[in-house]
Amino acid sequence: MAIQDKIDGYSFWEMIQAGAACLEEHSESINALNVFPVPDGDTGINMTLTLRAALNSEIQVSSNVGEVAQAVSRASMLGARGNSGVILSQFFKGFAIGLENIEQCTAADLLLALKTASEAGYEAVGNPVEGTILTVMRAAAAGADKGDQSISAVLNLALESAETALEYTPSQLPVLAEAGVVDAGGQGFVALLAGFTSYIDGTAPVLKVGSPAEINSHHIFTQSDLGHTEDELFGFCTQFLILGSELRLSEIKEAVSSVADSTVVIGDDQVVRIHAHASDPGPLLSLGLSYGNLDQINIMNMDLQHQEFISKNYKPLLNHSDQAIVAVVPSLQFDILFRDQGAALTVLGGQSMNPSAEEILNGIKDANSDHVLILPNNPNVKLSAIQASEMAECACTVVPTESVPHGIAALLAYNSNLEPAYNANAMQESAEGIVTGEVTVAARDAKVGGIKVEEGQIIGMLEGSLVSCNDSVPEVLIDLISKTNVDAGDLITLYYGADLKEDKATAHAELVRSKFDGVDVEIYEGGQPYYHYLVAIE
Amino acid sequence: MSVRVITDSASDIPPSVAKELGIIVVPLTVMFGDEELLDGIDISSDQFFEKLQTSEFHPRTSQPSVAQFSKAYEEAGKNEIISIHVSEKLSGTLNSASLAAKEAPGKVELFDTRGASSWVATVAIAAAKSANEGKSLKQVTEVAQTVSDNLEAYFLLDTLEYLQKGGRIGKAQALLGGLLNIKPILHVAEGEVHPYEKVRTRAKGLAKLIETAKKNAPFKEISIMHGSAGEDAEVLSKSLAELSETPVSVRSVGPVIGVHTGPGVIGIVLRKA
Repeated sequence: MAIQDKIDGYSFWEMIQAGAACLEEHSESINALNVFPVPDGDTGINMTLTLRAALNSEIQVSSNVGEVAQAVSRASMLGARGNSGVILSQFFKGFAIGLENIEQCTAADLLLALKTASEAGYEAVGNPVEGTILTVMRAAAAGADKGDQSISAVLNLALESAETALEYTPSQLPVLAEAGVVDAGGQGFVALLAGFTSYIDGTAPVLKVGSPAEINSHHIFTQSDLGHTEDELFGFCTQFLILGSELRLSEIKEAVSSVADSTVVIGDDQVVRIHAHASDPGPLLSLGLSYGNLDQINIMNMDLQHQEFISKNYKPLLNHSDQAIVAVVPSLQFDILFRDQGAALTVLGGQSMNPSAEEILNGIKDANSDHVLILPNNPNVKLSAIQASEMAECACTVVPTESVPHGIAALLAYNSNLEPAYNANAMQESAEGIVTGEVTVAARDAKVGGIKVEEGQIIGMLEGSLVSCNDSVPEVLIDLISKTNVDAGDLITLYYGADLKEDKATAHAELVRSKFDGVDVEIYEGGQPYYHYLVAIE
Repeated sequence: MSVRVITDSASDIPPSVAKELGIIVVPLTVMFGDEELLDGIDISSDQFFEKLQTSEFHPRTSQPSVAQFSKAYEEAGKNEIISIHVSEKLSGTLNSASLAAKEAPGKVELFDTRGASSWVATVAIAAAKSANEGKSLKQVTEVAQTVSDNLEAYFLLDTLEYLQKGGRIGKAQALLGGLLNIKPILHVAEGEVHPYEKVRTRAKGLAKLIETAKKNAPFKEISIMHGSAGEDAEVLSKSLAELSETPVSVRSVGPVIGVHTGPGVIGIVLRKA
């Protein structure tokens, strides 16, 4: 591609593709930048899926750059997953505002678009925090502005400034400094810009990875793609690692897409992670074996899974109501529990599988109500919930619950006879009246809040902060609870996850009862993946 | 000729208060299996709740007979009567009263308070005070109407167990069959019982009752009703004292409500200022 002085709609589209490709290529190292070693909605995956949703949507690409930018904005807003994905989609929204009514984008237009894009990113977040993707976006927009220049110069300056800002994120956010990483979202944005720049310059993208922590996070691949399979054949969701040497990523990528759909192939020359949907997983595994050893093989029959979800969760037509609750939940068990306590319907998602704004938006539509109250039940779902609520046709209020137990506490305060605004307040108050704990497996080695964690150890989190680490689930559970001000008369509710059997959970509950005098302990099957326990202390 | 106030034992009016104000209380009957006990005469509130938890039978309550009412109306002699009762949605008491009223020697004004327990007592006490001041039946009835129109009640159940055993309290039915162990707060207004909020611990429920009262304060009077929860009632009474123009009264819940709520029930009846 020759050096350009203007970007038309077709070039813009290709530039986005180049940015997405660069982002996708590095999504694994971006995932590894997560501060907390918990199985979480990974930043790299979320940003990649957000962009891919835009690229896979049926956009009429034309020569008019303003129109294409508008279409990309809309599609990425629907596809946004996780907070980083939402901010990215807002970036494109702002970009489209900057390019409104422009047929061919000049360097000056691009400068303006970068500026409006960064501003839109800030607007998407209630309390913008510096040291995040927002800071990196703003630095890119500000640093690119050096008077008369070419498009290439604008992008190269933006990239340089973004890289510098990224390096400084740990000095702005102490948690990053302690974990020894730069901000993951910021890194994703730098990757995107690197892709843009390389496309305009006609060179191969060079990505400076800002001193990441060890990239050995062989944790289980996230389920975030499930939502993408809606219109596709289901078959078997097949995930595994290929371990080898001198693995050629592009070759494997091509081979995998010839035998499967919805493929995500990421990694390096020694470890390649495959996630693909195939009607028969056999050939896919054989293919993997021809390159190296296989590890962490996980095959799920999505036809069965889908049918199960449809049969248990699907509510074809809800009667019209003046208000209703839509909650994001991590399992069928919580779907039942939430609907039992008054939620109109649920959207499957949560930790390690952040739903897209569109999935939440569909939930809002299906709720068939004048006013929908949304419980995201996860800090990383909050922004997509807000994004969905802004795109919805009915009135919506997001009650920003940060965990499933908080969501249940909020739900209990709901009274359909009272005004939505009153309910939203009461629900928020009620949510704040409990403390949430989580017990899970460390997804990688880490040191957070002075606690050293090895991959595979059991860790305990209180309100999202790491407080306990040990090799035993019950010990972490007890330790976690002892770190709250639990008192006689308090209630501890344990929701046990998919990896625990009821008899074990019952024994653990008995142990908790014996350790904490006068405290009530109740157990329920939560069925959530990855998390042994979600705990509510009140 | 003056006005006499008659009520039923579902008002849970303390006998000393009834006696002082000249209110005649017609008892309902509580039945544990074949054993029939007159509410407030053969069995006290505390005894009832103890028996509720220990008896092999789940108790039923039965409205007073027409004869019991006829006797009460005769006892009132030549006076005009206002007969103030538990909501007809909760008990057939008003039916018996109405049949007896037709045969009564004097004029009987039937009054449905659309509430129960301390709610009924609040209306009956206000009516009796105005009757004792020599007001006419019409005036006393107006007082009863004004008071009952300005009442609102909230109560916290300690468990859903007794609702589940076949209790019927309006729309609280909707709470049954839930997967989660909850303690509901119910709201009584305009003759209907609605689920108001659900909490998971008693401490939160009590705090919610106080918070709700504070939000709607001030009040002319507040009464607290409880089933075997005297300590909590005292705490609540102290917390609410400043919201009420008159001293807060604490009353025990009898069998008529208790059979649906179980022990540990605690509620507040608020009379708007």
